Amino acid sequence: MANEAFEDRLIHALLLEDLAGEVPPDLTRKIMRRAAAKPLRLRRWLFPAAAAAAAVIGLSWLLLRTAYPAPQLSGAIQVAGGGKPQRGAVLKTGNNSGSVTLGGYCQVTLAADSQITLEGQEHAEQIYLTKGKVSCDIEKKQGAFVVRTDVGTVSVVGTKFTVRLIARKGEEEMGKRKIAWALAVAVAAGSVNVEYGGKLETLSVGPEKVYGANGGSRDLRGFSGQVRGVVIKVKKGKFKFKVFRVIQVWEGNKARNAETLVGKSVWVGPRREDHKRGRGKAVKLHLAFIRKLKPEQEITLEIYNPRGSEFHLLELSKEQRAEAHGEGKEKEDEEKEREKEKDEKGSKLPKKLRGFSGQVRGVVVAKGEKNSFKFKVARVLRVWKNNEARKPKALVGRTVRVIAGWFKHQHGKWRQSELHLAFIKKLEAGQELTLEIRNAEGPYNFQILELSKEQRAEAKGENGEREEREKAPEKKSGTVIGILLNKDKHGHWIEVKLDGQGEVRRFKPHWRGGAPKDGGGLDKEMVAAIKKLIVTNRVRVKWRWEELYRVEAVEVLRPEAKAGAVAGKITARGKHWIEVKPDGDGPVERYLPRWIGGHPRDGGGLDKEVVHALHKLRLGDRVELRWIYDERLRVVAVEKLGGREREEERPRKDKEKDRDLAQELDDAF
Amino acid sequence: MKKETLEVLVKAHQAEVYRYLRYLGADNEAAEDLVQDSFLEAFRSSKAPELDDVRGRAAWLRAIARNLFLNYCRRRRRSPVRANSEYLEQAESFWVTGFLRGGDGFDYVEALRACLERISQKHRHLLRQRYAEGKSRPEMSRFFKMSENGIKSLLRRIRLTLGECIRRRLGREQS
Repeated sequence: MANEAFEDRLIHALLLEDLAGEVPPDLTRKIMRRAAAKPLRLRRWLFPAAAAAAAVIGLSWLLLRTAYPAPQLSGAIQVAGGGKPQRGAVLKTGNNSGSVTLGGYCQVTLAADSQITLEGQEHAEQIYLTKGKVSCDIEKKQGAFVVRTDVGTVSVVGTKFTVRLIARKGEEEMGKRKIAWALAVAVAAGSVNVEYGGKLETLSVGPEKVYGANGGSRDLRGFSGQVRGVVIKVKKGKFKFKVFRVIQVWEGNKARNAETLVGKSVWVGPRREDHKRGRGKAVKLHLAFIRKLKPEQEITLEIYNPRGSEFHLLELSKEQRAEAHGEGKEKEDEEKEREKEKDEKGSKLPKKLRGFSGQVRGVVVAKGEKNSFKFKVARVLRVWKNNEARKPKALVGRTVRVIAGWFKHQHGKWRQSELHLAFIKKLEAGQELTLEIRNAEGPYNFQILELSKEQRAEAKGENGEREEREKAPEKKSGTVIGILLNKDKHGHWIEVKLDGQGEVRRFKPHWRGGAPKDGGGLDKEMVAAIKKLIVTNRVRVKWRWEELYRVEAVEVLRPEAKAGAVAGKITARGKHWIEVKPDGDGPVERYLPRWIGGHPRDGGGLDKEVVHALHKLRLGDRVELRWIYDERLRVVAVEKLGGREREEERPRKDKEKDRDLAQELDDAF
Repeated sequence: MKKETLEVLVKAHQAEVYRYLRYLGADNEAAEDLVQDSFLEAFRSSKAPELDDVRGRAAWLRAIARNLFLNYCRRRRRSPVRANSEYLEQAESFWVTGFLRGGDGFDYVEALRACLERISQKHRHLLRQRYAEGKSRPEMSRFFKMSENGIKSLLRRIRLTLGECIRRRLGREQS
């Protein structure tokens, strides 16, 4: 096979990694577990030669046959009545969870207050779940595993799943309510077979499925509070509402466990005048509000549950009342609001990606409103255990909206993390970073899960220390050219986005003299020079490494002409600027709209037409723009070059088209 | 081999072994299984190279992975590739000279990423459909209004051109 063919295979494999996100998985734990379960080797000296040794051989064989691992306990798990964990033993947990490893290949974790009985045999392990919940991680190709319950059985070969028993209110009998049990199964990897009611069903990765008695839950009876969620459907004066978050509970709340409302879909109707009896007139304003609701609308509501399973609106907010009254914006304005919201939210996530939780690498596309930013995912590095997305790797290539994480603070109130908000504030479009994100609420937003140590430091404003942690480069001095992205207002540093690499590097002036108390400080001339620089211009920076990148000289690279035109591709964009790589060999330049009018209070501002035109453009679009130089490169007019990139790429309708398109590749570079 | 040594080996080389198996032709699931089997084979072997000899142990692990992949192909009715010893030896030779190039392949991957930025929007769209969105050839042929063979040839040509670009870049960097 020629090298060309191997190269094709190699590039195909690398594209699967880079674009399809099929990154090498971390198999350390599995490998170490399998290594720990390796069989004993038979030793030669255990086989004596004489005939009488036959009995010895037999005995030796009995002694030394492949030792099947005994159950191993860990955590807060106990054997009921004492004794060893063996077949027939009952294992239970109290307030904390614990786990048991069966046969070396079944890792079973019991949640708090759960109970199982060990059954089965070697390589066909089985447990009888009598109470609570178990999470199971089963190695492939080691043996079978079954979870048996009174409701049904779950059998697997190599997968991860959870099984829990739910106590539900059953029918009344002889004046007493029976407890009816339901079985809930959720598969995290692979698939399981669930036997319930004499039928067998294969369940794959996805949300929890419940088998068994349905009914209301005492935990939510008497709930009264504020929730956030999404409208699922609207029907005859009520609507189905999926709760993402319980923001707060009111004083009148009687629900035992309000948090169990999260993730549930409930019917919500209007408040009734005489709500205690469940009769009486529905509040008209609430009915009007409900009529205006649309499916997939995300809203915050105040609701309560007097009894049964239905909820009622408690109070509407000021905006909701205005909307219900019809005193809101005109239809045209409302359309614009929705368009703007849709634009900010970004495209809706497909169902296979909802519930994603993991670590990704990508680039900040643009900063958005309300402390959010758009982030284009280049790679999915890791997927966390609580991930619910069916195809997490399909996130690669998507641009998603990311917001600060929501956390419960004191008094049970939910707030966005201040640290995340500070971090988002410092982000720049075009910045490449690694993020831990998850989609927990609705089909639009991702929340930041955790910031790395460096990200937290940056958010806290310890940015000045960042350079100290940078590794010394191989070259200790040089000259670079790039776009001046940012500078300190006191002239203490500049940040330059270097040509070609896209790397953003910070440069500081040299330190002159000794300690500050002895008159030492940053090079005054350089500080003064930095103060005069105007950001977004291209600059040439001569630098030297002395613990940090030190700027020795900086020169603004102004264009020769005062005006011109350029055609090229948008490589980065922000709210009111774009970076364009011209066709051919020219460098990337950043363009902003002109400032028209004077001070903002006198009506001055950025050229609205150009701002509007820039908002319509996307990363990767080809554009032609006219510019002038006025301290910075300013866009006077911009036009998207739509459709075909080059004339010769025009598709034809006959069979020759295939060959023609293939031929174009010769010119691809 | 001690378990601690195995853990060090796994953490250092599992990504490369996985990538190597995908390059040889294993699919995602098979590669995961074979990676595990390779390290367990290494664990049981008495011929492990010294931990200091990074290249030596990487080559040794690749050799184990190759043999296991060959057995895997022979056991299957429909093998992913026409695998035989000669094919695998040539594949190994290209991996060392064409991909690793005395390092760990990082330069090659970076060059590929840089070359991906340079291809036209239409071809990037094609690659995205095939790899990121996992569309099948019939689906792509309907979308781009081309024959299935046309799509296949076009993708191959794109990869070929990426290969040329990568070699040019790597050649430039070396000089």
